Parts: sequence; structure tokens; C-alpha cells
Amino acid sequence: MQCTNNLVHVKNIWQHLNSHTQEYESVILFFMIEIENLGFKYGRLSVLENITMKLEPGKIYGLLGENGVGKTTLLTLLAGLKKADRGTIIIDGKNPYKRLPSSLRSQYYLSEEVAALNIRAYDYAATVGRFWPNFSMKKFQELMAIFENDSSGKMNKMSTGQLKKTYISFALACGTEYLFLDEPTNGLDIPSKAQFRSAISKYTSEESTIVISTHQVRDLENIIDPIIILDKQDVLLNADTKEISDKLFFDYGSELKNGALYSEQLPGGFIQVYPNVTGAESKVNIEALFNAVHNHKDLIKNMFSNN
Amino acid sequence: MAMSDVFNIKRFAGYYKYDFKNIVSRYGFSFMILSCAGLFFYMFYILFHFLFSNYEWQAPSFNTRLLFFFAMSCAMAITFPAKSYGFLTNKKEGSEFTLIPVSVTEKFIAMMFNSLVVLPILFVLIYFGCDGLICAMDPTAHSSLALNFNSFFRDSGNADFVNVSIVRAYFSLVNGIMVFLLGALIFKKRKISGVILILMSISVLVIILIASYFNGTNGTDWNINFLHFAKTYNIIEIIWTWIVFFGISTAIFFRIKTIKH
Repeated sequence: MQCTNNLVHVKNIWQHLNSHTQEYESVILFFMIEIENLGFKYGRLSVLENITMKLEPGKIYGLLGENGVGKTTLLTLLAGLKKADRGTIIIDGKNPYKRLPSSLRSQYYLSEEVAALNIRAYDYAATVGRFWPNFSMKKFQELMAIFENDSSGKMNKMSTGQLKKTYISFALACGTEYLFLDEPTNGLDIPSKAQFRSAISKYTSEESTIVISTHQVRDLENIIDPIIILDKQDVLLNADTKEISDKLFFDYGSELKNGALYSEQLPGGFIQVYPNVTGAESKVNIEALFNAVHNHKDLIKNMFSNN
Repeated sequence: MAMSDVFNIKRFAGYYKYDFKNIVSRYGFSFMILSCAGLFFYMFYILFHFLFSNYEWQAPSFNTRLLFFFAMSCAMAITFPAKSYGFLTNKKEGSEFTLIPVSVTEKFIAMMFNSLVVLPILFVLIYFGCDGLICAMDPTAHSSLALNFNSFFRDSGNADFVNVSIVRAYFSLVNGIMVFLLGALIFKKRKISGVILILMSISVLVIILIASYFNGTNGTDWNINFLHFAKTYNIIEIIWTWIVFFGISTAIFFRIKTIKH
């Protein structure tokens, strides 16, 4: 009897899913960032050109690239702080540059340099946090405690690291669907970097899209996935670690082999990157990946091209 | 665009409170100094008058105090916008302002209401309150600004002459604040001196244009009695005031809407 009931229940769910497939698909597609042929210039200097990519919910994107390739520019464009010269950015079906309250309350942008305001951290969070519907003061206090930061301290009296941790706590406490973090671990001490990793994992929802621009790949190696590597006016790579390890093999052996896309001597051996022809599994080393991508831009682009 | 993305009364109320608190923390001290400047002026005046006029106790006259009030109003109109909203052009603080989930309309209304209504009214109330206190305690001060401000303007005004009223004085102050507010939102540095420089340049340009016009008339129009045009001037002045008001308001709105960081 119980078994029959379960079967009926499963059948009902299946029918419901079938009849609402399109609806669910549209919901899934709706919470998405779509960048199409994006172009941006500072005066005559073109920074981004023909950038096209899709960022899906529930992922923590690592935005990597050399200095000056436009990582911060891309984040500020996503946040709506700049207007694209060409192309479009659509977040949840809206242009972020319109800065509509309904868009702004679903996102938080944390810039690399933050303002040291003449206000206590607690008061700042209480005053500004109210504008984000999911903001939780309890979360903010918990995060401040995790970072061993004093929320009763004035922000303009804090050190660079303490100030950064205050803003990170605030950003995570906002509970937004989209979180854009520009070099969040810059200025943090070693324990704080570990605390940041655990806070990102614990205090963001599974549906959130997080984009972290960073040069400190080792700080975030275990949390960022997929990885986006930007080049001057191009996206060299936008793939998750599974796809990367399917297509590239990271060899941590002690023997130097020929045909490596990148090799680097480490204490006690080498790290070498090869095209993964055997389908062997390996752990992605983001620094080695970054260098391999930069040494063989066209090859890697073709390798990861979905066409 | 949904209406809630343009204006929501609850969100506006919350933002207005936030904006006002922000002004208090950025400009509160300077504001209090300027609002209470009448008291300091009175004390200095008494002290110097006492020392240099055979130890005679004499408060500043109504006209002197009124002149000082105008000077302080100008100082407030010039310094308030840059100190309260000048941060908008700053990358760090301006980004935060831009990304607060409140509509541009709400940010604009809060900014205008605080700058053009609340702050000037508070300033006048505190200033006149201090002046009233002086007059109540010191009989040599005679009439207070608050009680005689209106009659002063009424007596100055004349139907055949250029019309002067409190409303006009208020709009002059408001337009002054707005000009410096726009400057504070446009210039990244030299927010005050930049505006003053532009105003001076415009003045010089206007003077040159007028002078060249009169030069072209071979000096025959120099004998014009300008008071004949007082009524026309009054009308033009009112129209001009409103043009400036709406023009600058629009410019401020679009500056907030399109500011980039």
C-alpha cells in the first residue's frame, strides 16, 4: 500500500515537472548574468572588446587576468557603476546601469578600496543594511565575530584589513543573489584569508552568483569554480574545474617531460600542464593554469570553445 | 518600469533619514558654527566696541546683524553642498551612494528637500533663535532679526522699484545652494573655487556683452533711467529665477542618474 502511494506521488511529481518544464527553465535562465559583445573604453583606450559570456547561479566565479585587462572594469559594469560603450549586460532581465532599486537590492559590489567612514561598524550596518531586504544584522555580527573584528569600533579608526573585513561581513550579511568582489583578500592577514573562505562557503546561498576578481589565486583556489581568465579584449577561458581537468592534465611529478603547455620547478619536483589525452584525473593548479593559458592563448581558446 | 522602481514612500522615508544623518555627520559641526555665528559675532563686536570706545557697551545694530546674517547665509550656501554631497564624485564613497537600492528619484528628492528646505529653514531658525536670545538679554541690540526681517523687506520694496521680498531672498539662497550643489556633483576637486571661477567668468562675459551693446549705441542710451524698467525687471527676474531653479534641478537629477565610477 505504502509502495503504491509512493509510486503515485512520484508519478504526480513527474507529471507536474513535465507540464511546468518551460516555466522552470525560464526561472533558471532568468537568474542569470548574460554578457553579449561587451565593449568598454577609457577615452581612446579600449579595455574590453566583444566580451561574451554567461554566468550561472549557484557558482563562485574566479575572475583572473593580468593587470589592466579590465577585471575591475568588468565588475563595475556588472554592478552598474559604468555604462557599456557597446554590447549588453543583462542581469535578471535588466540592464544594471539603469540602477533600478529592484536590481540594486539583489546585488552587492565590494570594491578593492573601501571608504573609511566616520561611523561605528555596527551603526553603519544598521543604517545602510536596511536597504537590502535580506540583510541580517545577526549574520553581520556573526561574521564580524568570525573575523575577530570589533563592530563597535569606528570605521575610520580601523586598519586596512579590519576595514576590509567589516565590508566583507556587510557584503555577506546583505544576502544578495549577486555578489561582486574585487580583490577581497587584499589587505587580509593569513588567518583572515582562511576565515574569508569559510565565510563565503557558509554565508552565501546556493542560488547566489558570486564573481571574485583576484590576483591572489592561492587564497581562493579551493572556493572558486568556474574560472574566467580575461585577456586584453578577450575571454581566454570560462570553464569549471571539472571541464578544465577533463581537458588539461596537471602533473605534479619530479620528472620534466616534453610537450608541456607550461612547466615550473617547485621544491621537490615540477608542476606541468599538458593536454589531457588519456582522461586521467588531476587537481587543477590555478597559477599553472593561468600561465599555461597565457602561453598558449589560441590553443586553449580552441580547446575550451563550445563549438 | 515598475512604479516601485521609481518611488516607494516607505523606502523614501528610510532613505531620507539616512541622507539626513549623513549630512549631520558630514556637515553638522560646520552647520552649527555658521548657525550660531551671530552669537560669536555679537561677542566679538561687544568686546572690541567695549575696548575701543571708552568702555561703552553697545550691541551691533539691526543692519549690521542683518548684513552678517546674509554673509553667513552665503557661507552656508557655498560650503554646505561640497561638504555634504561632494563625496559623490569620490570613487569609494560615491560608488556606495550610487549602489544603495533606492531609486534616483528618491535620492534626488531627499537631496533637494534637505538642501533647499530643511537645511535653510533650520539655519534661519537657529540663527534667528540666537539673535532673539541676544535681543532678549541685551537691550542695546534693539529689534531682533526674526521680528523685523519681514518689515525690513516690505519697507525696502516699492511698487515702482525693484521688488524685494522674503520669498525672493529665499529663492536667491536656494538658487545659490543649487549652483554650488551642481558644482559639488560635477567637479572632482576644487568644488567651491571651480564654481566661483565659472560664476566670475559668466559675470565678466555678461559685463562685456552689455558694455559692447552700449558702445554700439554711441553712448546715447547711457542716460536711460533704469527705474522705468523696474516692473519689467521684476517679471524677468522671477522668470529667470524659475528657469535657473528648474534648469539646475534637471542637471542635478541627470548628474545623479548618470554618475559613473
